Amino acid sequence: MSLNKLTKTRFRHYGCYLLIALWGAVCWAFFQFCYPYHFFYQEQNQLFVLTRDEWYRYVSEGSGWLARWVGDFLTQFYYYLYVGAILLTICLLALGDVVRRALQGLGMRRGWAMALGIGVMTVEAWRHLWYAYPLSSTITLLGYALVVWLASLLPMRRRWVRGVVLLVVLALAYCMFGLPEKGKFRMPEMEMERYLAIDNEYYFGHDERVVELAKKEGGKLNISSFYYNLSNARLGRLPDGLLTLQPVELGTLWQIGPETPVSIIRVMNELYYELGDMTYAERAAMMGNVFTRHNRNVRMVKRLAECNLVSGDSVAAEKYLRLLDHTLIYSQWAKLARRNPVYARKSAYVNRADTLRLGDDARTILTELLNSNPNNDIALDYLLCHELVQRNVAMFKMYYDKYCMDRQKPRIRPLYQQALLAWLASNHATEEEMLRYIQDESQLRNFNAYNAVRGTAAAAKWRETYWFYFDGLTPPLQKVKSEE
Amino acid sequence: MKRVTTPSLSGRVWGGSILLLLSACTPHPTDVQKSEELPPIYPDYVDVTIPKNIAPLNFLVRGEVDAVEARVEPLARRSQGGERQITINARGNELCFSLDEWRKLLLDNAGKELKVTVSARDQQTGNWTEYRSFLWHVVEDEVDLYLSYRLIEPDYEVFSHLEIRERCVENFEERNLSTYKLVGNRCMNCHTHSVQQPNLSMMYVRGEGGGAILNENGVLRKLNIQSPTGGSVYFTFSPSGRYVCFSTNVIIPAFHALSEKRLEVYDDASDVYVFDLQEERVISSALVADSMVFETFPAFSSDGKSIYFCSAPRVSLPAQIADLQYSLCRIGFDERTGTFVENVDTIVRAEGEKGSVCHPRVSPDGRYLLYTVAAYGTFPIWHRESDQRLLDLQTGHVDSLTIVNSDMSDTYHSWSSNSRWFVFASKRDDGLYGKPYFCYIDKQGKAHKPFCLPQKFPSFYDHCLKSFNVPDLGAREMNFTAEEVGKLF
Repeated sequence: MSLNKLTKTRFRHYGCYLLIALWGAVCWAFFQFCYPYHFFYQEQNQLFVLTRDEWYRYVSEGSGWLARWVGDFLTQFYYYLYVGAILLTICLLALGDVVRRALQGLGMRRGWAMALGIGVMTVEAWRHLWYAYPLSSTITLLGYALVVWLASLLPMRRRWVRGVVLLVVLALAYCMFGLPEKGKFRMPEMEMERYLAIDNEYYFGHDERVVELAKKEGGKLNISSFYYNLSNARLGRLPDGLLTLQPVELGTLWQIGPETPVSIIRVMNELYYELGDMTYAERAAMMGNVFTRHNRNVRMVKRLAECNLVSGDSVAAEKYLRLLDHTLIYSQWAKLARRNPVYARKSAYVNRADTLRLGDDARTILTELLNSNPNNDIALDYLLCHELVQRNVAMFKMYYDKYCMDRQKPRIRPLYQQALLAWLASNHATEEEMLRYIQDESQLRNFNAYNAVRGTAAAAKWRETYWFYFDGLTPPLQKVKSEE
Repeated sequence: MKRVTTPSLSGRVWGGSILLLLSACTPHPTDVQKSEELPPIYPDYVDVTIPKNIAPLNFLVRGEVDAVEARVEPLARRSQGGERQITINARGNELCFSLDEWRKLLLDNAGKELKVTVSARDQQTGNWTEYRSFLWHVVEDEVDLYLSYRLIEPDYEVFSHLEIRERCVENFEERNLSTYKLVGNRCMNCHTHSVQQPNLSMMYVRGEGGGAILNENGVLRKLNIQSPTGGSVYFTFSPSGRYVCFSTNVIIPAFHALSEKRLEVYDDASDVYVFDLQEERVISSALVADSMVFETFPAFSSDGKSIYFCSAPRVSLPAQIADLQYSLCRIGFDERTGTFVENVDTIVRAEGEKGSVCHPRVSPDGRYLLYTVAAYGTFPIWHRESDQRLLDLQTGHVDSLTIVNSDMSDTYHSWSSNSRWFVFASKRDDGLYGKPYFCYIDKQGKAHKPFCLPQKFPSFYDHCLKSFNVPDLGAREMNFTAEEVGKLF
């Protein structure tokens, strides 16, 4: 072989590896930096319990048990930052390499085998752009490629023997790896990634980050307004930012039922939990659990435990905590949850009186919570803001009187002062009444200034006031669209 | 001549060596401290009465335990000696019996008592504790071998991935009678045998194109049972198998503000009818289809001459839900002419029970009637106070079944064909997830402490997030498959 030819061969050889390394780097970088929240979604949308009976459950589900078990086992580590993209890239690279080896073992030329290997892992990477595509499907492909490669290594001179062996191992492989998921070929789901970013940052308790992300989104995602308000409520400033992101979405008009998209059911669980309504939080978490691949969603299971810890049902809470005890990722969380004082504190906000509700009527839910505990500020703000968003100032005033004025605890917030001013002015209130309700004099001056330009283009200066919103000069409330 | 296969000598040597090796690796109790406490085992199998044909009562020991031992031996040693006993040791906290050894042990000791002694090693200290022994009362009376149930999350508003399964209680074999995979993920309601026999049974598959799936000798057909007030919901077969008595219920789900009460389900309207399977016609009577009265949960008597049902005067709902109290009633039925006869008798008054009567079920021998009493309403599975009662139809005596009931919901009972056993769904473990419990009624009518359906792995129930809904006993295996059900859709 001439030196030139040898150099060329080496270049091809190392060039291929360089190409694969480059492919891996691009794949990792894309999933790490453009798709990190997709991994969290996948991790949360399952519950991997490392016990004998769970192993048996996988086995008894029939063909594909090994792929599902390995896939779900690995997916649980998506919980950790960076691990998702690394694991997926390793699996895809392994798939490409094993496919290449298997094809070479079957007699294909190295170049073609390499090209096909890269093709397979590229197609598989593409399938992972769909948020619901499981890692177990890649493990299935990897499993088949692995058995074909191993079978090709067996020393068999006769072609028919090799054929028979291949058929047998493929049958065995079917038992262990089943069939890959059909999946969906999608363009990168960047809107879904943004949705998941807000959803997960809320879950992690990063409220300021949620506010920041939601503001960046503006009105493009309805869910961003919902989480923006919920995070603001947790920070004690719901009325302060209510009109910043429009259309305003509080979630108080959403109904949970058989037709409700699971994405809404899950976020409703967050709302009810924050408000303190454990019946509805538990119900939403239970329903959120039902609509998953194996009817198990670890985030919902944690929430079910939390609901019962808050409501003081320790026996029911233990059911879920015991389940989490047997996970690699959440066992420590379960241990700490048993003695976390936050649940005892939260239990002060749960309902004390019993009524029977037929639907998700926000007024009923919120007033019942407030009647049980008038210090539930989140419920109070949600009730007042719900009426304001509906432009029902009369109801707002009634609730404000009942839960603030009658209890000698006026809630002095610019938004509420603006709404009160609007109501007092339209009802020709006396000066004494004005003085009793309006304690922020700047709002009185602003009200006069707004009225001077009301109905003109100059009114836009006051776009974040309730008067501007009340006059219908901002987009009306919209129903949220399903993400799933 | 039947050929008996025995392991070869080398096989025995290898097998023995492996067992010896495994056994050497498994910790055995040393320096045992005796405790007067009962072992913290799950499921609660302490002092339970079991049939001789039940699967191994595998259990686990709660707490920080890393090794366990269970010794099961006859309480009264026989004079001849050589009686069987089982000792099992395991790492971890789970104790699982060998199916063969278990069977032999139970057959040898049918009608006798077994003493169970549990020892556990503390994970932290390494100390062994031998707990106070308890008994298993093994009775000759067998329980029906097959149990069907629906697996569903305990929130009946929504469903996904539903399955109706049949389990052989003698071992751990389980199969689907119907699965979401084959019926387009539709809602399915529970499967009910006719007098515990597999040749006649029915279940519902809901949704478009759905209906009652009737199994007659393994042949499945879809029925459209429609009465003047709607489709059938709760039903039972007549002993002859010709009739199905059913209720039509306009079911309203509602939620309690108090989180511990959770779900409430009540009827906005309900009536009772009979469907003639032979002529496919609905038989009605104004006595059980009164618009001013709620009638529900019909059940044929064992001789087919009457129908028991629950009845409550209409109240304004949901406002007066606490006043919704059902009484147990009975109306005559003539199977020959297919007509309701006589007037309605009230058997158990709601006022007398200080609660609402639900789910009457007559034992196949006609001696007893089991029912549930909840504080109010018609959905006892979500009422923690729900308890079962046993009415002796000969003497009128009502047994409050204190040894059977728990402080959580106990309901949805089904009799074994010999009338000595019944199965029911109980939420006693966590208040949320229903599990099948078996209870023995001896010849004197005395109820014994029930036991939970054993599982291959005792931690199964800890990790299961589905309720065993409406367990129903059958003497033999059902003669149809989930694939055959799927073909109807």
